[in-house]
Amino acid sequence: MHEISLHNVKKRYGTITALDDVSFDIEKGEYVTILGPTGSGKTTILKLLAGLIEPNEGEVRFKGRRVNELCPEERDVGLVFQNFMLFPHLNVWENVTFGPHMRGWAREKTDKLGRQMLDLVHLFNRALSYPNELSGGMQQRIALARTLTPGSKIMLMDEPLGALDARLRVELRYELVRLMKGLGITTIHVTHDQEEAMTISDKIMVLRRGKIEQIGAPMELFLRPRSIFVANFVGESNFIEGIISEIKDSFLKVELKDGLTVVVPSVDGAALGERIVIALKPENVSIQKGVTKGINHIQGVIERRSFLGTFVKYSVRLETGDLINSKVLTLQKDKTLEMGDKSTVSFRSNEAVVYHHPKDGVRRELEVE
Amino acid sequence: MISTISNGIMTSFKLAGAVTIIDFIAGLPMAWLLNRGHFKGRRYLDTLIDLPLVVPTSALGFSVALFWATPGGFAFFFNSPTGAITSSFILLMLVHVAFSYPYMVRTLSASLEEIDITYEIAGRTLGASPLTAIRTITLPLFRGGIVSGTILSFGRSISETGATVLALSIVGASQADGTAPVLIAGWRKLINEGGSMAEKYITASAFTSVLLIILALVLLTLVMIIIKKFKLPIKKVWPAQEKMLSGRIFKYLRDASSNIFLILAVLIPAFFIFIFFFRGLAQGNSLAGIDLAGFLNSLFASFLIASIVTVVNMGLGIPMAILIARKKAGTVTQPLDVLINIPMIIPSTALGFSLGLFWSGIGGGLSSLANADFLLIVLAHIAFTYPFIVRTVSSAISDIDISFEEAARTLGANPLQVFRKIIFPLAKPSIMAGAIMMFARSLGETGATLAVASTAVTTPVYIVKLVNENALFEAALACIILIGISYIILMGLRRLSSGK
Amino acid sequence: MPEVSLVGVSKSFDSIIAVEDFTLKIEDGEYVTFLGPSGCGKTTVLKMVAGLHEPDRGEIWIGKNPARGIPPEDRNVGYVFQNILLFPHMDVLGNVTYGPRVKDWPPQKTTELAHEILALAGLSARSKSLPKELSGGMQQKAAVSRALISGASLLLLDEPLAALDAKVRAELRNELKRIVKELGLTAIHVTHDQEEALAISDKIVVMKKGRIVEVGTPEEVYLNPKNIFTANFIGEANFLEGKAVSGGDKWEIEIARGLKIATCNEVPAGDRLVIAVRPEHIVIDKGQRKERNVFDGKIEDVRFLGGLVRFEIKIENNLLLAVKAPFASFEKFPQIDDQMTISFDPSRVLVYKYPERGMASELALE
Repeated sequence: MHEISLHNVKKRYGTITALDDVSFDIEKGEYVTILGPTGSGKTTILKLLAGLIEPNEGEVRFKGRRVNELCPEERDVGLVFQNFMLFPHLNVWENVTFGPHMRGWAREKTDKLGRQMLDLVHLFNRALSYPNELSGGMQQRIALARTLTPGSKIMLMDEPLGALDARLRVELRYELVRLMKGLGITTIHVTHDQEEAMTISDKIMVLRRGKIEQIGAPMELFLRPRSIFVANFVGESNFIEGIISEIKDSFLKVELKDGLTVVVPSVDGAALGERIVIALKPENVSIQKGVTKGINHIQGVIERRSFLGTFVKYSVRLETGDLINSKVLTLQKDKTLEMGDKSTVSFRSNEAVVYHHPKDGVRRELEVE
Repeated sequence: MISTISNGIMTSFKLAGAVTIIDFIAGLPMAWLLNRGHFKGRRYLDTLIDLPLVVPTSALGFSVALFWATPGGFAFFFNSPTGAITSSFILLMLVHVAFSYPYMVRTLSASLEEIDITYEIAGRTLGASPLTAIRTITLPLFRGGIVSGTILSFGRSISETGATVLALSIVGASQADGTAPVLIAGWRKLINEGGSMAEKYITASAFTSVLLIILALVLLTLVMIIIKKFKLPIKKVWPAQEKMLSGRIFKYLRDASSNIFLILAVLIPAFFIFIFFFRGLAQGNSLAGIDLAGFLNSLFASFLIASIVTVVNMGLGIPMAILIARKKAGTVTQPLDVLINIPMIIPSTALGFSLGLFWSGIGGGLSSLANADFLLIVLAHIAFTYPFIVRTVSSAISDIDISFEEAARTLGANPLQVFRKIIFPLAKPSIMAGAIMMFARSLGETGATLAVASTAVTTPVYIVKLVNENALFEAALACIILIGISYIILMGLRRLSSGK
Repeated sequence: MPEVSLVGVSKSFDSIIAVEDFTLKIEDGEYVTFLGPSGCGKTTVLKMVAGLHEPDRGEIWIGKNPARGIPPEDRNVGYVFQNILLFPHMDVLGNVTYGPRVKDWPPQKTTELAHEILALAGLSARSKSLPKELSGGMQQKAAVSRALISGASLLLLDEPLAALDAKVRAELRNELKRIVKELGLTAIHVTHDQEEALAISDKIVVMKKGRIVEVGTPEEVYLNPKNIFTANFIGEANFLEGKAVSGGDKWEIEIARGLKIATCNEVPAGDRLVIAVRPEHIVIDKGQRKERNVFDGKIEDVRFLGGLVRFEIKIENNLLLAVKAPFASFEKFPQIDDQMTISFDPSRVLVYKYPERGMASELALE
């Protein structure tokens, strides 16, 4: 029996369809991220799970039981907001013990839980402070403690790290997942940041325009994205278009332009002469100075070089006209490639992913906003 | 009769129109000063502007009229035998401006606060002088505030009775030259006296009321449409001139003139009554002949009514405010919002009159009840103060991020707990402000009271009686006591709301 | 295309010091980022360059001219805001032409310039749209166009990408750099996002609590941070405390009894020290046993990051090190509790004096 599930849920706001036939299951103790661009419906899913809104069609189930009609205070689900939403007129202690108070729990029990949760987030010494006296990171931790005190085993988080500085986000994300896992809580975490999603999730659900594009472990979404959108949204991809010139067992020979072919894995329903799209992760694109020949080697010129810290990213204008990115680990001692250098990019066949050409074109398919 | 009515209506509208325009011209720079100015005494200026709101309008009107129209007031400096102002229309304008100005400033200021000042900064980084930035960026975004301010000022002026009656009396003009509400109030007395003319006066009152209501609604709707559609000339620029006008000197001039206006046209006249009274004392007027019992009775009646009205309206209004703010009434929400604002625009006298008619029509039985008059007054007051609490509270609640409620509910709070623990504490300042405004409004109301039952004597009515008997000194004393007690109660309420 | 100089600039608000003793020279045509946590003063410096605040002390020069006393509308700088702030009641064209209109430029010239700059930004098709009809990325591009049309040669950007989705941020930052370079502008870009700073800056100015911590190119501040704060703020770093080995190799640092780290630099004897190694510089030892800085350990945590795998390995003395290795370098994906040998090159070890106020205070982000 699944801990949380949605069955064929549809949600409309006036004429706008926010969620279009969404179904998924989440198991107990899983840390699941819902990943998607703004407006894809992620927050709507959270609100449905919390009971703040009701679906137009479909069912929300907790432990197999339908909960559509249950109001939020009866669902025993924790909700954490991007802007923390700490009650400004109450101090930290009052905020953190708010849940138990509302449920009328005994004083002793409430105090014990409050103390426990504040210790967990290392902020017991600020119990009497008011939210506006705390830094962003601290407010975030208090917001967490507050949702944990009632003891809910399901936690919903709406861009919980979104209001924090980039560096703080990276630090806190590990703390967050460790905290939830340590308490055995099933977590649904909404974000638009795919790096965040990849780092901490057991499963990622990619949402786009109210529909689920793919659900799976980070590795799966990264290495075997089922659609062009997912290929680009999770860990970005390069896209090269070509025409199938030969089909051989499980591989295809694809002609990119006159006389230039590459070998890639086949895809279901591939037909000779068909236009297809090849997706390549920048990490899987190797780059060398000068001209080198071989299978899946393409010539090009470096248009841009960006230093990204761990990686250096090269943007290469290929002889086919496409612009593709190559991400290479920073090696200080080796000769670096400069803008304008002639170079060769190459990739291994089995690292490419192939898709049928979308009817509206690749650009439309990739649209994020 | 017809000519009297049409004169009354014309006077009402001309007066309200002139007053609103003056309020806007004087109030806009003041709102700017309050909102964008950075100076030490800002909080005090804030409180000063609210002062006239606390004073019951009849007392306010009385003081203002004394200042401008008697030899002891402004005319004192010129050694004039008559008051400085002798024209009744101009006097009425000055009186109305004194009590409607704070409404305009408050509304404009609140609206200004909602506009992100960074838009202007963006404009300046693009090369616009401060004045150009304000004119082309902030003002267009500001229309909502202008509409609200206009409606409030206009509504206040058109509705006002007590101060108008007093002012006319002091300047020696006939009540028949007054505004429409004044006429209605006057007729009510004649109706009570019975006789053959009673029927005629009832019809006249009804007709005038209806006309007032319809014309006011029409005019205000027109104004709303015009202001919303009016294309401000933001395409034209005069860089050099506007840059000059943005300069320090002009800013000082603007601020100085705003302050001078506030002091000269509003504050001094409003509190002149104290000077009048103490001068009277010095001149030997004694307190001996004052009808203390009558006065205390009227005080008691006024405060009782105001208290009942405030409590009842809080109970009725807050749930409605929540409904509107959280759009819980579905598609009815928008029209409901508009409907609720109507009692604010309709002259309270007209409202009171129709209510009186309504209830006495329902059954002679009701009007023969011992306390029928009292009940009717309470009902009338409830009707026209209701919008205050609904508006104030609903805008306060819309300002509270709905996510606070969502957070509370997911933590286990049911809707009632959410209200008690979250909404109420966060909205308390506005709820208190709304309550204070209602209390003050009811306390100061004259027109509706007179229109419903001119035999009942609330303090404003009592003051009118005294002035009609030319007992100016006693009237001044009554005013001062009324002001004093209102002030104490209101300050107490304010302290309570911020102290908790 | 001015250069910008700030000398000894300080600014306080009431009793809070926002910026202290800020001295920096920005060359003509440079794209400089001010990088630091919220509250470090970076936006305040930007606003002083724009003329929105005046420094309490110190001077600012834009080009050859001292900027003191010149109001924002006369400084000819373009300013882009975090909240975008397109005027909601004007369409894109109206917004973009606001500057020239307000300075009463000839309408013909204004329209020409507008179309030029909209084409540069890729917004020609949306000139009649209202701001609320545009996506976040397009809105910000419109705002940039608006800031640049009047021919400003200095562009100031206040966290321009903060309000946008992660994906859009990555795309838009390249656009920003392109536009700036094509127009030959000098740019100052404020951000708290170190990846953003690394990707597009010619020079990064790292700030903390109102002061400049370090200035350098992206490679410099990443590969050779002069400061513990920088080492931690930009990228990730493992920190180990120790001191020089007495009587031993002058290049070694003792972390604990028997646990020594070899570096490439001479280490001052007696001092308490902190060494830093970046996770990606720690490599998995596949049997080609290196001599120095080799440690055995057990894996405590594994995370797939896409091209990289990040895992935490506990070596002797219960020390936990974070390691980042390319996904492709594993035959079998590492699991928790796996044994592994790691090593790192002495040249990758950064050495610092132990901070006076302690590590926690030095690394604090808030």
